[in-house]
Amino acid sequence: MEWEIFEEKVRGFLAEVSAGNLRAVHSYKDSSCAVRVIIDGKVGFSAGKNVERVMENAKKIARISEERLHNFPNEKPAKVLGIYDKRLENITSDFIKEEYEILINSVERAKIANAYIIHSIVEVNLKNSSGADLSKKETFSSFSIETVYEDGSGFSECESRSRELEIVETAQYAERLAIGSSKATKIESGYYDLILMPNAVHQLFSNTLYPSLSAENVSKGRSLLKIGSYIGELKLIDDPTIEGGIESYFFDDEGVKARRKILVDKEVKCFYSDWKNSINFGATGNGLRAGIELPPSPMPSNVVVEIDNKADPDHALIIHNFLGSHTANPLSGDFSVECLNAELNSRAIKGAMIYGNIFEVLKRIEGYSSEEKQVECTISPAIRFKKIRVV
Amino acid sequence: MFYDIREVKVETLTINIENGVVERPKITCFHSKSFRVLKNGFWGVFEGLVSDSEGLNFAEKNAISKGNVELLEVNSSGRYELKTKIDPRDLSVEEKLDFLKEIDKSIYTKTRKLGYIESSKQFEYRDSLGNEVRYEVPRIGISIIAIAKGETLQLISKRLMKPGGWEKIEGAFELVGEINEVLPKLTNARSPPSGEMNVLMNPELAGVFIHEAFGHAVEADHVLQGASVLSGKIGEKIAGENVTIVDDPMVEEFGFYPFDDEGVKARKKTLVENGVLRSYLHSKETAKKLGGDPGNARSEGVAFPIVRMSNTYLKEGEFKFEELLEFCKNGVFLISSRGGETNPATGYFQFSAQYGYLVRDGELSDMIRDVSLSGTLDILKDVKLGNKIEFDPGFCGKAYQTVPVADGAPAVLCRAKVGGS
Repeated sequence: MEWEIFEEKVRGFLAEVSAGNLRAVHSYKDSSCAVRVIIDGKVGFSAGKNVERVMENAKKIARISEERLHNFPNEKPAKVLGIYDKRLENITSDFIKEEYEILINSVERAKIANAYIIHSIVEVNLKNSSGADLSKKETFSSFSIETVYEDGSGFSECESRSRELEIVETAQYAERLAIGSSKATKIESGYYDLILMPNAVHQLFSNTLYPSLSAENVSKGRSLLKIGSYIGELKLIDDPTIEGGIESYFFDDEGVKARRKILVDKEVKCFYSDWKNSINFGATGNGLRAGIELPPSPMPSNVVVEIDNKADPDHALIIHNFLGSHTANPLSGDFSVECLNAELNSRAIKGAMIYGNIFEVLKRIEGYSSEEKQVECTISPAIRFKKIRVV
Repeated sequence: MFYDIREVKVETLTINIENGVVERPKITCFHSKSFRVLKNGFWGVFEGLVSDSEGLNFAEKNAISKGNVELLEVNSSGRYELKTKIDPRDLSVEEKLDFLKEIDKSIYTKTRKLGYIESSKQFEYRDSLGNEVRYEVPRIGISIIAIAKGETLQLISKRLMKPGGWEKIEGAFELVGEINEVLPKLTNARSPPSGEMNVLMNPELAGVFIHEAFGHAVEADHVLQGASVLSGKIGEKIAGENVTIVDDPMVEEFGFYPFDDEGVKARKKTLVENGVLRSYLHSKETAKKLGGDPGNARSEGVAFPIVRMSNTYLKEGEFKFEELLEFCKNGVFLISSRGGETNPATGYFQFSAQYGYLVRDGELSDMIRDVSLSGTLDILKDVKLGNKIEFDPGFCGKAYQTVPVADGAPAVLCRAKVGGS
C-alpha cells in the first residue's frame, strides 16, 4: 500500500466591520488532516481530525475506487521568497483594532456597509510512502470592503502575504466606485471598446479561460483547447515561485516542486496539471486542494497576464467588477455578465450586460492600459478590447 | 455578558463517477466548536476544538472594544431528529455504487460526471440564558453534469438534493430523461437574442430569480448596513398583487433546518403578502434593532451565524403553462439555472439559464443557449404566475459562507433584459 498524509494547522484573526462599526473580532485555531492511500493501484481519500481514523476511512473507500495512481511524488521543494511574515505570529487583536482605525479614517463620504480584515498562518506537513517529508509555513492577509453612497455601491479587496494591507487605497477605491455609481446612467446597446480592470479580468478569465487550460479538463473532454490552439496576442504564465505572490508556494499540495511554466504564448503551450495527470501532461506542480476536505486536483497558481502593446486608457467602457461571472459557460467560454461598477468617459454606467465568447474576445485585445495588480490568482494589468457587444 | 457555544459534527460520503469511472470517492468526519461572547455590545469570537471554559476565555479576550450590538432575548430549547425511511448508513457502499452506476450508464453522452453525497450533521447549541438545542439532520443528493459537442461544447446539469434518507433519491433516474433529450439539441442551439423582452421562466429558473432578485434584499443585515434597496419599505407595496413570497425552513427541501445556528426554533415567515413587504429575515441582533422575529441566522460549519434564506418560494398563481405562453406571444422561454448573483444595495441582479426556446406567436420554436437575464426588483411589479410550484436545491454563498437552500416558484412571465448577440 502507498500512502500520503497531509496535515494542516491554521490560526489567525478576523475583524468584521458592519455599518461602519467594528462589530466583532474572531480568532481561530484548527488542525486537520487528509490521507490518500493507493491499494492495488486504486486511490482512496479521507479527511478529518484523527489521523488513524482518517487512514482507516481512506482504506475503506479505496475498495470502490477506480481512480488509478502508481505512486506519490518525492521532489525537492522550490525556494520562494516572501510568503511567510514572522511578525504575524505575534499579532494581537489590538493590531486589528489599529487597522480598523486606519479604515474608518480612509473613507469620508461613503458609508462602509461591511468590511473584513483577515490575517492567518497556515502550517503544512506532508509525508508519503515515496519518502517525501515536507513542511511549509505560509501567511495570508486580506481586506475586503463594500461601500454605499446614496443608491450606489462599490466593492474592492486586496490580499497580501505579509502583515501589511493596502487598506487606505482599497477603501478609497471602493468609495470612489460607490460615489460614481450613485449617479450612474444607462447606455445604448451596441458595440463598445472595453477596458477590463484587473478585478474584472480575474472574474472573467477564472470562469471562462482557466478551466479550459486544466490538464484534467482536457483529458476528460471538457476543454476545446489543444497544444497549439491560437488564443490571442497575450502571454499567460503560471508561476507559483513569484516572490510574495498570493498563490506562491514551495511545493504543491501533493509535494510536487513549484515551477514556472508558460501556458499560453499567443497559442497554447502547456496545461496545468496535478500528479495524476502528469503522466500525460508532464508534472507542473499544480495539484492543489480547495479545502482540507477535498482531494488535490489541477488548479492554477499565480497566472501572470502579459501583453506587449500599450493601449489608450480612455474613451472606452471601463469595467471594474462583474456580477454573475461564475454563471458563464466554463467549457465553451460563452458569457453574458452584468457590469457591477462601470464608467464611460468619466460617467458611471448601470444596467449594462457584456455578451461574448472568451476565445473570440481574446482575439480583440488592443493592449494593456494600467500597471499590473494581483487579484486572487490573476496578476494582470487592465486590458483593452476592441468592439465587444454591450446589451 | 452573553455567551453561546456551538458544536457541530459532520460526516459525509461522496462518490464521483466521471466518464463512467469511480473517481475521488471520499469519507470525511469533522468536529468543530465555536464560542461567542457579547460584552459591552461587542462580539468576541473563538473557533477551535477546546474545552468550553478555554474557548469562552479566548472569545472574551477578543471582546476588545465597545459596540452597539444588542440581542433579542429568546427562550428556545429542544431536540430534533429528522427520521429517515432508509438510513443510507444501513446500505453498503457497494450497494450504493450499483445504483449510481445504473443511473450513470443511462446518460447517453460519454463526457459526464455523476456526484453522490450523503451527510449527517449533529448540532448542539447552549447559551448563558440556559437555552439548549440538539438536532441531527441527514442530507442526501445526486448531481449530474453531462457534456457534449456539436457546433459548440455544451453542458447540462441536474440535481436532486433533499434532507432525509436513501428514499429521497430513488427517483434520480428522472434526472437523466431531460439530459438525454435536450443536450444533443443544445450543442447545435443558436445564441440568444438580446434586449428587453417578454421572458417566461420555468419554475427552477423563477426560483433562482426570487432568491437573487428579492431574497437577498430582505436579509436584515443588509438592511442595517444600508445596503438593501428594501431598507425602510416594510408595509410598502413592492410587487404586484399576485406576489406572495415565503421563507420556510421547516419544508423538507434542501434548505431545511429545525433550529437556526443561534438556537432559535425555525418557523415559516411570510415576507411579501399580496405585493406588500411584510417582514425581513432576522438574526437575534437584527430582530432587536429593527423589530421582527429571529430564526434566520445560519452558518457554514461553525462560522459566525449570518442572516440567510432557507427554502424561499413564490406562491403559485392561476395560469396554466399554455396560457402563459400565449400571454408571452413573442419572447423567450428560459429553463433551469446556471446560478446567479445580486447586489442588494442597488437591487441589480444577473442570472443565467441552462437553455431555452424562442417564443413566436405563443409557440415554442428554436432552442437557444448561454442566455442570461438581468434587471432590478421592479420586475416583480408586473408578473403573471403559473399554477404549479416546484422546488429546486442549491447552495447560496454570502460573506465567504455557503449554506444549502431551496428555491421554489411556479412558471413566471415577466419583462426583463436578456443578454445575447
